Amino acid sequence: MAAPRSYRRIVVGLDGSAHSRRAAAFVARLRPPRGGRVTCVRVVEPVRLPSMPLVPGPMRAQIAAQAAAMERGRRAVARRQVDWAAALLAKAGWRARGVLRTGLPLRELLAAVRAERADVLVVGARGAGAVTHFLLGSVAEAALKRSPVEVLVVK
Amino acid sequence: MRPTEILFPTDFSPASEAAGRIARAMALEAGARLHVLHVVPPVTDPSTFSERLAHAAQALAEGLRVETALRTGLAGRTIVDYAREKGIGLVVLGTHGRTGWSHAILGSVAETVVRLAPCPILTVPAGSLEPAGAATPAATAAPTPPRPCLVCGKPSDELICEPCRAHIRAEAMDQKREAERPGRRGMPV
Repeated sequence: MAAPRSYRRIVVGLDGSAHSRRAAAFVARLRPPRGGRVTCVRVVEPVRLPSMPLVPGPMRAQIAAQAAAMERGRRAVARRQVDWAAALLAKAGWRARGVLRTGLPLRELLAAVRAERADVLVVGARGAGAVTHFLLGSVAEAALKRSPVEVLVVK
Repeated sequence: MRPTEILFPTDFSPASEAAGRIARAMALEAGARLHVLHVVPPVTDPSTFSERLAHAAQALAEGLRVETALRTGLAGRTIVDYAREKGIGLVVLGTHGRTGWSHAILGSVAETVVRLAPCPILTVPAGSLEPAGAATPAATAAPTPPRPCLVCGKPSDELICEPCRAHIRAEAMDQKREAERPGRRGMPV
C-alpha cells in the first residue's frame, strides 16, 4: 500500500514494546511518497529521586550517581530502539531519523508532532507502561484525544 | 499486509466528512474496496438514513469500489463486529475530540473501536485538512432536510435539537451530583 501523498511527514512513537515495533514496521510497509520523512521518537522518562534532606552528603552523591547511571542505561537502550526503527524505515526508502526526548511521554510525543509539523502520528496500541492497560495504552488513548493531527493506532 | 478492505464508519458529521476524504485517498492508493457504514441507534427507523448514506457514499465513490451498509445497534460495537465480519484491514474514523464532561456523558465511539477493532485504526480529528493529492471532486454534505427533534418534535438540523440537548445534559449532571453527594444519602431527613 502506498502512503497517501499528503503523508510526507510521519512521527512514529516508540516505547520499546512489541506494539510500537509493529507500528514502525507498518510504516515501513507503506510505499514512501517523494520526500517522505519519518521521525522515530522515543521519550525517556527521567529518573526522579525523592528529596533527601536527612541523608548524609556522601550517600546522597552515591545515590545521585546511581540514578545518573540508570538514566544513561535507559538512554542507551532507547537509542538502540530508535536506531533500529530508523534503519528499518530507511531500508524501506523513507528518510528516517531517530530522536530521543526526555520528559512526560505524551507531552513530548505531541511536542515532537508539532516540532516536525507532522501529518500523522503512528503509535502502537499498547505500550510498555508499568500498569498493563487493557487493550489500549494510556499514551495511545490520550494521543487520540489530544493530537492535533491524525493518529494511526497499530495493533 | 496491504489492506484490501477499508472501513469508513460515518455519522454524517463534519468530523466524519474529513475522515471520509482521507479514507477515500487511502482506498484509492491501496486499490482497496471502501466500506461506508452508518450505525443507527437501536430504536430508530433505519430507512430514514438510507438516502443520506447513499448520498455520502456517492460523494466518495468516483473510481472506487464502494460498499454501503446500514446497521442497527450501539455504534462502537457494531462497527467492530462489521470489521471482524468483513475482514477489514484498516478503519478510518473521525473523532469529535470531546474531553471532560461532554466526553464522560456522550462517550466515545472512536475509543471503543480503537480498543476492540482487530485491525489498525486511523483516527482523523475534526477540522483535519484534506489530502492535497486525492481530493474528492465534490464532497458536499448531503442535503439535510430539517427533521423533527426526537425530544420536542420541533424541526431541527440534528437528531436532538440544541435546547433539548442542553436540557438533557443538565439533567444528567444533576443526577450525577445527587448520586455522588457525600453524607447520609437515602436516610429520612
